[in-house]
Amino acid sequence: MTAKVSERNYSIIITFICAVVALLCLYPLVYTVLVSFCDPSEINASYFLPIPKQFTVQAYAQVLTAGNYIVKAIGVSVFRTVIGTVTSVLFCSLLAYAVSRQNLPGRGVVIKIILFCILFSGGLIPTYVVIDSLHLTDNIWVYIVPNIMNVWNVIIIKQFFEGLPKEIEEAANIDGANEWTIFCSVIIPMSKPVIAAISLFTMVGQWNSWFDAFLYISNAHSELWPLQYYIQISFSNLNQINQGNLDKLEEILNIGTINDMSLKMALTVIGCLPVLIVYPFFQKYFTKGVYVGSVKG
Amino acid sequence: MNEASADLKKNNVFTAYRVKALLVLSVIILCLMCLIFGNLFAKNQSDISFTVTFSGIKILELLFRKGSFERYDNWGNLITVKYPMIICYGTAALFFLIVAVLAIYIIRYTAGKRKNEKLWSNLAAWSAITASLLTVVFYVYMLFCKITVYNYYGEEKYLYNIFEIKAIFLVIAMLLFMVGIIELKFKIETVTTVKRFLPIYGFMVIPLILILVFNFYPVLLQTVLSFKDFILSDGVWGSKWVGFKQFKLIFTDNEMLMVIGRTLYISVLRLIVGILPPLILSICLYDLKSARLRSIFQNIVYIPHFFSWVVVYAITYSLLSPEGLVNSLFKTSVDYMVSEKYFMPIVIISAVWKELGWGTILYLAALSGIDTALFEAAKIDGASPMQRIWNITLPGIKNMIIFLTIMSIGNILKGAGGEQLLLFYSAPTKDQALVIDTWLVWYGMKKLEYSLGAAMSFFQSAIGMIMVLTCNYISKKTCDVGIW
Repeated sequence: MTAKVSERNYSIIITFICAVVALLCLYPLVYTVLVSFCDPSEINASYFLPIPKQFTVQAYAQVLTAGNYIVKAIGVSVFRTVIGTVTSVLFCSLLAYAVSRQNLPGRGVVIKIILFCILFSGGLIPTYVVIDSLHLTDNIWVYIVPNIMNVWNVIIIKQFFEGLPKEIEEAANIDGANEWTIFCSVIIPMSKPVIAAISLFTMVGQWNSWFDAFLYISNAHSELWPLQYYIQISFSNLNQINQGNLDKLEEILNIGTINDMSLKMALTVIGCLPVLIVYPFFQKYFTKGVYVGSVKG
Repeated sequence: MNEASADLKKNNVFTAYRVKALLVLSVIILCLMCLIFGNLFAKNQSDISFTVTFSGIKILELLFRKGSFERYDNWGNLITVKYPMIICYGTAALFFLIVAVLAIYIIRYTAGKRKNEKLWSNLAAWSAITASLLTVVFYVYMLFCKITVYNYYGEEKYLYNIFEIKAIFLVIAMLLFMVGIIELKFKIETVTTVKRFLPIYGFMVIPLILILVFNFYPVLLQTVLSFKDFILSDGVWGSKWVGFKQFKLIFTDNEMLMVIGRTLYISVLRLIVGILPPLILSICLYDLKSARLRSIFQNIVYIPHFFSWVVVYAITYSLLSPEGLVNSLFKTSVDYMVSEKYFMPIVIISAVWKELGWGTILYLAALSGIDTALFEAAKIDGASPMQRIWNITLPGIKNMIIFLTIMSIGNILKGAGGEQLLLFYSAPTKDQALVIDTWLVWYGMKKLEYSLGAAMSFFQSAIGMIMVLTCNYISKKTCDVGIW
């Protein structure tokens, strides 16, 4: 009898813990969204849920029309997300397909190079020197070219390819299909889960990235800033950004208006909206593609 | 029938033989082209008033002029510069060496199959490999060559200060080495295989070039930089070699030791909160009765992982800034975001918020491998939930726990979360945020301490690699889980 009661208590406790964690994960997001819909003048942050008296998209309108810089930044972000993801997934899986062929001469050497690059990375500064010497600084392709190859993704995709049945490939070979056809119409469709998971990670990574803009794009080229870097700049307090940055920002964003909380939150919501939209579509592929992927942290 | 197939095979072998010969010869000729037409040496503009690049053919020409070179500068003055003969002799020697290798290969392949095939093959292969090694030796010799050269201004400079010795020597060495390897390792049969796989090699070209340029070359550059004293005007290859000076600085300078110490401190904090909470949450999720509820909760707790640190910062800001939620609730106006006292808790808690859900994914994967019959049996035996966790669940995922812990210990020098700290710091908390990764940005990059920065990241990478390899080994030995 006692065991049964504690069994029930236990299931109540774990449900409670899970619910609390889920709420904690959602709450800040909900709060942000609600604030972003408040009228900048009537915002009252003293409630846990600052439900606006009347919903207004004024904050969004103001953010999006602020000298159309934000629109441009969104354009840059979309560009890097789309092009970056397509090229990265294509070339990573091409290499993965090549090294997944067991009897390919020279396969061992290539795998050793990839593993070495996983274990030993050239740090920030040497990478900067390389990118600078290729004239990629202050250039929009800095978001794409250095990010195309991700050695981790190559290994993950390769492991998946190696698990595919060899017979289909051989059959296609005998039917006279060339390698490109086999790759496009046999291998890729069979590897949907891993391709989807890798695409999601690359996409999210590209959309979320601000650090490369911070490193490689100077303030004079603010038209190349992606959205996330804009958000970062508009949030950083006065101590953090240097004077040059600040002048630029004032000019760009009309700093008087961006001070408002609801405007900042509108910017934030725009910054995470695509991720939230894409997430449900990819979520079902998680279980298959993710496990290896999450080891890399 | 049999005869015909044998004949076909022979024919095939013969073409394969020719393919191999063609391959090897063309690579050697490529080497020769690199040497003759490639830019072997470049001269900095800062040393004389004109820039000049030396191709191999020019160097060979200099040999007949005793190394003297005349040139009008930008203002029309005639300048005579004398170059050290060692460069001329060395390059000429290299030229003849490659020609000799080429000759050996031509002799080896012209007459088709010979009687003492094996001997010829070995001779050819080892001559190419020796030539490649000699090229490397020559290159390294020039890098460290102590010959002082008086330049136009009469200054004394080391060889590498005056000439930027191009890495094309290394390319030549690599190509020659490749020739040897092809000769040794490529069996005639492999050539047919290679022919079959030709499209696949085509697939690899662009990805491999990108990996070599953006992943591999920085590693090389990092190694070179960390043994030099980088000066912007001299460039990476023109700066002075200083040996272990930078590393000595890292391990003796108090400030650097502080940076390393703080990195370890923050990493350990993150490690502790990165292991236990996800473990508890994943056990709770696993034991939920309703599968529907579980998948809903799971999908919710994964969401924060996909937000960028910028967004996480923005959300934290909305809660903790002077106009934020916490201050309005308590009618205070503390700026938590810039206070020294709250900096670390804010950083750690927001990191937990972002990664807690995601951290469960591997545990849940491990948990799904436990045999559910064990739980049924335990229930029938009347085991309490706590006993069940202790005796079935935890032992079931013990290996995964050990593996994850070991791996995060392996990453300890990189685990301080530089990206997050760069976003969350402010002037009062800059000291607390100074870890290796942020140091690299603030001092290494912005103050042009490239060499010290490279040495720092070299140290970070090297320790990381050693630790990850050892940890992976240990984890494979003890619990049979590894990265690969």
